[in-house]
Amino acid sequence: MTKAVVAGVAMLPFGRHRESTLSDLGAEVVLGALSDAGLGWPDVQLMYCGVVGVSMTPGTGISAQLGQTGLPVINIDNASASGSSAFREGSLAVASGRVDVAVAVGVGKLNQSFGGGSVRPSSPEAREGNIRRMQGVMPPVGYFAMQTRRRMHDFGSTIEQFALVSVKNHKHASHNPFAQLQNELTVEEVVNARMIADPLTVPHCCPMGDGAAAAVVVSDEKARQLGAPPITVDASAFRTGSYENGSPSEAKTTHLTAQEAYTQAGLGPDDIDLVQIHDAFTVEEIEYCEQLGFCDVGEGERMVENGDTSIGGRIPFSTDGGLLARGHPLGPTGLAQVWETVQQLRGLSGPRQVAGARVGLVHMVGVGGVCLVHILKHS
Amino acid sequence: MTPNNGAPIPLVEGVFRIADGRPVLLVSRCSFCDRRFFPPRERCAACSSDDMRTEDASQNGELYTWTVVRELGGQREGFVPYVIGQIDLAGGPRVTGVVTCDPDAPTIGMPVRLCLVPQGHDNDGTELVGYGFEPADGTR
Repeated sequence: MTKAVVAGVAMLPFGRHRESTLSDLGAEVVLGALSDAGLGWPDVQLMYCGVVGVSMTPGTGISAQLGQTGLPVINIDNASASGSSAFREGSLAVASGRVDVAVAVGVGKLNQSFGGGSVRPSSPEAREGNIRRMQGVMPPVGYFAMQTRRRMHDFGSTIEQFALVSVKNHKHASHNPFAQLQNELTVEEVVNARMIADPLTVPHCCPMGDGAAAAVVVSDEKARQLGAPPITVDASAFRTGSYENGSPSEAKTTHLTAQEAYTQAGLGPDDIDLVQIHDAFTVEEIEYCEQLGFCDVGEGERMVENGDTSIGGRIPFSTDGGLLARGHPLGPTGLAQVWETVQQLRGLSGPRQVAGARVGLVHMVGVGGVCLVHILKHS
Repeated sequence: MTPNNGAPIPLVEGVFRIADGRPVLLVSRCSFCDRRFFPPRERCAACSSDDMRTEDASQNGELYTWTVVRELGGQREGFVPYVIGQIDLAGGPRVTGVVTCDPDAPTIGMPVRLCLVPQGHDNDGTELVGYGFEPADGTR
């Protein structure tokens, strides 16, 4: 087995790209990542494309645009974790020795709705829709709002403590020209913003939008030829949910997946220099901070309050602004995390650089209980 | 004569039945590991056994957590705000549902009971109902 090396990355600013198709967006970042690696499209032997909920296959559209070299292209829909899944599969294909050069790309455009079913139609899908309708239409924010409220009950945490996650992420994003929201916020502004689902106001929730990101993964031999900085994929762990009292639990799944990743890499939480997580809602950073092993359960709020998860703190989280401020166009989000981690490990992150960063952990969850944890290391 | 003698019928069959004007949720109990699930399912989510028995859940429970959804986006303006929660039924399991109370009223641990919630009409005019929860002490 060779080690997979991330030789090139690229992303587009997240936000609005209404004028481009998904394939247009993807083609641009694939070329960008290849250029970053010193490679061209004909060098690519395999491509995975992460994308959510579209009927056509934008990955194949990218190859049609860039040149029909006949390479295999696989589209992956794994909810929020689509881009992370593409990255994993590209890395594993290289590590297995099957290919020397693989591309993982993720694309997304805003097109989301959360609705109920129509009245008593006959298909099994419609029946499931009607069960959800009786359960009450549950947008993701409703689910995480309930989680936040329960945590406030269990640990006596305050909404201001959750707001600090958003404040911190916006501050990080203010140094990231690729972030969707680059404005700084105060705790008061977060708490007093428009209520979406009690107790969560708008800045407790990530923005949706358009975007694309890509990574080129190569064998270590190819990386040496290219003179690429040796940023290796030291762990790629992937689990789906385990059953727990009514639904899969992101917290438990995150814990189990992280343990698997630490074992693969031969590392522990103390060895990690920076972390990117699925922080679509503020409560998530606090819970994953605990589940990834950086503090005990019930101490996540204090980590944020102490500035431990800020740049300059003990273990910086979401150095690019995270989903809350960098944005979350679904398909590319996991690859934007890889982009940020690689730039940090290369020491190219300018005012948001984590000093001496050598090891980065990347975490992503997706609807349905999907969880991925990657560990990237500057060897 | 109106269909079904004018009585409302469940929006979805096989999920709950109506007894004395209130819903009784149908849960699946795994014969192998004894866990209970709602909505009913043919295979255990925990141990994969397909030996599942359907039984009635308690009509009473308490609120484990809740939120008020105030925005949904898109075309559902008239739908919000509504209270939604997770309810620990007496004897289990934990279920999700709308709580038909004032948005200022819910508290964690509040006793609730099942109630019928209108879900429109079928093509032949039959009234359709789903299940929801109301405060068990009768306050709104």
